[in-house]
Formats: sequence, structure tokens, C-alpha cells
Amino acid sequence: MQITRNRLAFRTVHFLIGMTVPLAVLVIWQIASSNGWVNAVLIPPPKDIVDEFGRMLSSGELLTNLRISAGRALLGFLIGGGLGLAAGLWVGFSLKAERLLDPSLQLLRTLPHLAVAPLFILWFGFGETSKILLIAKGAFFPLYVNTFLGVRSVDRNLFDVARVLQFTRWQTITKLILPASLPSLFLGVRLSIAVSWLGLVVAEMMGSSSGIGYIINDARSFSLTSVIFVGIIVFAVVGKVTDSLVKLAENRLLRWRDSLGGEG
Amino acid sequence: MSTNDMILGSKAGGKKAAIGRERRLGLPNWLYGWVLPVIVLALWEAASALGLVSESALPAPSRIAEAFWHLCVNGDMGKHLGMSAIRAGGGFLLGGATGLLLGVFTGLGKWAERTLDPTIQMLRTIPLLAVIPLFILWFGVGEFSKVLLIALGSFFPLYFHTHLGVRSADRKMYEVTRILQYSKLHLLTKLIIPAALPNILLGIRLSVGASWLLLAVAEMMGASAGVGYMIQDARVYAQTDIVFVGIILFALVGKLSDSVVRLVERRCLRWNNTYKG
Repeated sequence: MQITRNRLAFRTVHFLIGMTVPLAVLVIWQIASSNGWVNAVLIPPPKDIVDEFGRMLSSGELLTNLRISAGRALLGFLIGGGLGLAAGLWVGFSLKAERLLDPSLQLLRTLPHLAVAPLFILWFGFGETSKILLIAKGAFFPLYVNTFLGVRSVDRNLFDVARVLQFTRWQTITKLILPASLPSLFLGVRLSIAVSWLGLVVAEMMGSSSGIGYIINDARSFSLTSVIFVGIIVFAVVGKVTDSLVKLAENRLLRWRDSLGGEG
Repeated sequence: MSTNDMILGSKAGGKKAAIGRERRLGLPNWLYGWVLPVIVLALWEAASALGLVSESALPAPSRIAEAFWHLCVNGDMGKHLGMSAIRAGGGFLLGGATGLLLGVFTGLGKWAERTLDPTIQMLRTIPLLAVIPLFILWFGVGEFSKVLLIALGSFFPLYFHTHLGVRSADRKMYEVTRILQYSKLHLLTKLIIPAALPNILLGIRLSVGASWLLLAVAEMMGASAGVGYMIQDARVYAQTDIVFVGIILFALVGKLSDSVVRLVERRCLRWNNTYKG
């Protein structure tokens, strides 16, 4: 009891120490901009940013655009991630597929995916297709590489056991390979989601009429710096939240896997 | 050896399917990876020769190669590549050095970690690309905002891995150095830096990758020279072959710089291994 309370106190103290620098920066920033030491157009005071956030939230502007952005990111992630997962599983299972496909995919992976954006715009125009494909292209590779690695890292001895127990192919996949490759699969999903958000930012800034990226770009042309700040913070928070959600799911599912391993 | 295998493979053409299972087509392993790209390139070339795809959307590989050669010869390539390399190099040096120093600083000092690390972790969640408009507003579209953006991108990977590396130094070793009465400088150069080297080099690799990525974006946002500008300019005039050349160039240079760092890594770590052994 005493120890847990001490630990709690310890953690709060650490948290407070960690918060000193950001808080000090915020206070100085607020004082500096309200006294006119820095240009309020270029660096708006934190209070203005909070006000702007409240205004955009209550007018529904933020939520509508966030929904559009999230829809794009999700669709791109599902297409790219799904294909990456399928390709990773296929290449992981078959040596032939690996020899045939993997070098080409690795070659494509070195293409910087943001430099491909102009090409996508040329091919598919400024519409939704090019945006979603750009996000899908980014989301494909992390999931592909990590699925492939995961399938290949399954213990060979366990394979032999599965064969001795006369598992069908389907059983081998669902009972052995998928659980065993789950850790690297989740890593792939997390990286893919991060890349999807990144791709979304670029896609929406390249040319778009809705979404958070559009809000940022639009605010830049009118020098509404506080709106830019709101957009950046929203991007950061949403990115962090999705990452934490996947991490939570990972912890749960891997705990299950661990307990299963403990039983066997 | 490998040519023998190739000849065997082509001679056995008729029996390929039968032998395939055992000998995997009789092709040497490295050749396998080239099968698909070569087929795709051949189909692509054929399709554009027959006029099945529009020249402006998907120029033939031979035209891309031609454009590549043309740009090499007239010196445009050298100009753009040089400009891009200076930007990426400058940004990487600035951001990487800051990351390295701060990483060592927060790695060594408990207090430095507690006060600085949470702030830096918080800043890391900000998507760098979303910051671009802000940078343009603050510093204009000039060189400064580009270099600063690249510096910011290469700061984080190097910072984390340096911090991690310093923390991974063996405690027992540290105690030995105290018994041997190493000075602070000695401790840093003889124990901590070598122990952190694998992580630092990994951080450098990630940083170099990040700086090329951001360079592409920074140059597309507004520039008058550089590979990113070349791509953007070609897109406006629908010169798709030059867009392809630019993309390939980015990929090649990125791959090359990564290989160079890896080579350095292997050398340094070999030294580290023998040193430890």
C-alpha cells in the first residue's frame, strides 16, 4: 500500500517535472505575444489558438473536415494495408512467390512515396482516386514487409508439430502462423497507419477542397496562423490517438497469445 | 557457374515444368528476382509501341532512359542534383548534430531527461508535413525554411537512437571505468560513444532517409532548382518522362546514401567488435 502510494507520488512528480518546460514555454509565449514583442500574425498567442479551436468546433467546421480526412485515410489504409497483408502472407508462404515478387516489391519500396504524388496527379487528376491511391501506396509497404517477416519468423519446430498433429492447411494458418506472426503484424499496422496520416497530409495539401490538410493550406493563403496551429494540433492528436488504439489492441491480443503459449 | 546454370535452364526448356519442382526452374537465385521486372518492362514497352497507352500518361521505358541520358548530358541533372544534395546535406548536418548532442545530453543526465524528454516526445507527434505551411509563413519559401524543415525531420530519429544508445551502455563497464578513474571526457569517448555507436548509426540511417523524404516535399512546395523542382516543373508541362526520371533519381540517391551509411556501419561496428573481443 505504502509502496504503491509512493510510486504514484513519484510518477506525479516526474510528470510535473516533464511538464515544466512546455508550461514555461506557453506562459512566455502568451506574455510575449500579448505585450506585442512578437508579431501576432506570425505567432498567435496560445489563447487565440484555443479560442479558434473552440470556434471551429462549435461551427462544426472541424468535425466535418475531420470526418472527410478520416474517411480518406481509412479507405486508403484499408486498400493498401489489405493488399500489403495479402501480398505479405502469399510471399511468406511460398518460396516461389518470394523469389518472383519480393525483389520487385523491394525495388518499388525505395521509390520515395511523396515524389510519386505528381505522377498520381497526372494519371488520376486531383480527385479522390489519386489521394486514396497515394495513401494506399504508402500503407502497403510497412504492412507487407512486416507480415512477410512475421510469417517467416514462425518456429520451424512448431511447423513440424503441426504436421505431426495432421493440421489441415487452414488450421495451420489460423492456429499457428497467424498467432505467431501477430507481433510483427501489429508493428506493420502501426507503421502503416502512421504513413497513412502522413500521406493524407500531402494528398490534401496538393489540392483538395475539404479535409484538415485543406484547412491548413487554405489558412496559409489567408495568413490565419491560429487556424494552421489548430490543424497541426488536430493532426498530431488524431495520429497519436490512433497509434495508442492499435497499441491497446496489440497489448490485449498479445496477452491472449502469451497465456495460450503458457498453457501449451 | 551461374552462366552454366543459365544455359542448362534454357536447354531444359521443354522439361522445365517437370524439373521445376526439384530444381526451381534451374535458374540461379539472383536471376529469379529479375523475371518480373523484365516482363513488366517488356510489356510496358510493347504497349506504348503499339499505342495502347497514351504517351503523356505512361511514356515508354526507352523514352525515360532517353530523357535520363539527355538530362545527364546537358548538365541539368548535375545542377538539380547538386542543389538537392546541398540542401539535404545542410539540413541533415544541422538537425543530426543537434539531435546527437541533445541525445547524449539527455542520455547522460537524469535531470536533463526528465525536463527535456517529455517536451521532445510531445513535439514528435506533430506531423512534419503539416508544419510546412507554418514554416513558409515564418521564413518564406527561401532556402532557410527548406533546410530547417529537413533539419527538423532528421533531428528526431538521431535524437531517439542516441538517447537509447547512451542508456544501453553496460553498467558494469561504467563501474570499471570509475575504478580506473577515467575522467569525464575519457568516459565519454572510450565507453559511452563506442557503446552507443550501433544505435547512433541506425539513427543516422533513419535520419538520412527522413531528410531525402522531406527534401522531396520541400522542393515541391516552391523552389527554382533541385530534383523536386524538376519533377514539379515537368508535371506542370505534362512531361511525364522527366517526372519518371526524377522519381528514379530520388530512389537511386536514397538507396545509395543508405548503402554508404550501412558500409560505414559495418566498418565501425567491426572495429567495435574486435575492440570488445
